[in-house]
Amino acid sequence: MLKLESLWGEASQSRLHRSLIAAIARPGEVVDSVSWLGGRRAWLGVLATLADGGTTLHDLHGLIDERDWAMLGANRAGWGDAAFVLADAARAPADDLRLDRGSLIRPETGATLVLDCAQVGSGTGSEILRGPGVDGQRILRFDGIDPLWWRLREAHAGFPQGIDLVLCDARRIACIPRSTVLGGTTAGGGGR
Amino acid sequence: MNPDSAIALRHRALVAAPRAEVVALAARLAGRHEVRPHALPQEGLVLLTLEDGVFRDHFHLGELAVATAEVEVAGVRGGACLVGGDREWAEAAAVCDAVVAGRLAGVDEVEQLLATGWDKIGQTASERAAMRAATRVRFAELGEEPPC
Repeated sequence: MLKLESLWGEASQSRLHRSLIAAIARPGEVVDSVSWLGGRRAWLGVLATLADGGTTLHDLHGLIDERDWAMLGANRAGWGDAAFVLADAARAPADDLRLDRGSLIRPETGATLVLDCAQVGSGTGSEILRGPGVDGQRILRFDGIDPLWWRLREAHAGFPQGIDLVLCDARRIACIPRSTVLGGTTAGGGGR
Repeated sequence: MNPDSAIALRHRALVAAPRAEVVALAARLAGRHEVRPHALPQEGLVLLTLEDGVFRDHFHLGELAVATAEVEVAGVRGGACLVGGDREWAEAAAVCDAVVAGRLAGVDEVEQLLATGWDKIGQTASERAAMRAATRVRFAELGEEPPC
């Protein structure tokens, strides 16, 4: 009876979930999920898959409208306590932004930072990724990420503690979990 | 009447009404009004938490299968949470709930359905009262008049 946008349907959620698992398992690999987003940006698909009434979410730059907040069902929390934090990658994070990086006893409570980027998988900025899930090294290209986000990730690092990044653009997703080592960059807008 | 009580009573009658009639009526109402989800309709298990009457401690009685739906009908919100995990029924009940809450076109039909629900609740209560009456026993000591 109720007509749900395709993004909120079971088939889309299931496929997005599988895409996310694949993206987290292979850091830096770009997943194109346009078919399942119904014209919405990829970050909403990520949050629709990960967030529910049992999770906490902070919208740093007011990207989520009230209607989508209701559909997500997630509980609002401050940035220091939220399990998921959404931000516009083009805007620099505040100096005092400190996310939950977990503890040695409970590292799994470390936050997942979802960044809405101009481009993921193409663009003039890039990062070289190494570590679990990467055969040798992988280059991730992107555009529209303020360099201070990389500094924020470093400030929270200390495996097993840390934060996990999910980079999204209009339709593509790439993940950089806390276990990934970022090293070396190429020149380009937004890269380090 | 407390508005929350009015909603609870309305939901009680909606659940007691025949499922097929609720779903059919909601489908007709959806043809007349713009219906959109307010929250994601869901089905799953919830923990039923109760308070014991002596120490006022909370305890979990068990899990219940439920279906929930929250909708907006012509801008008016309605919702339902039904035991049993039947999402279609929950969505239909939520649509009916919104039509009554906003006194929208079709409210008469929903109120007729609510009356059917109340009839069913009354009938069930009478049947249960008759069953209880059949098990009534009278205790009396020898030489005493039996209690009335």
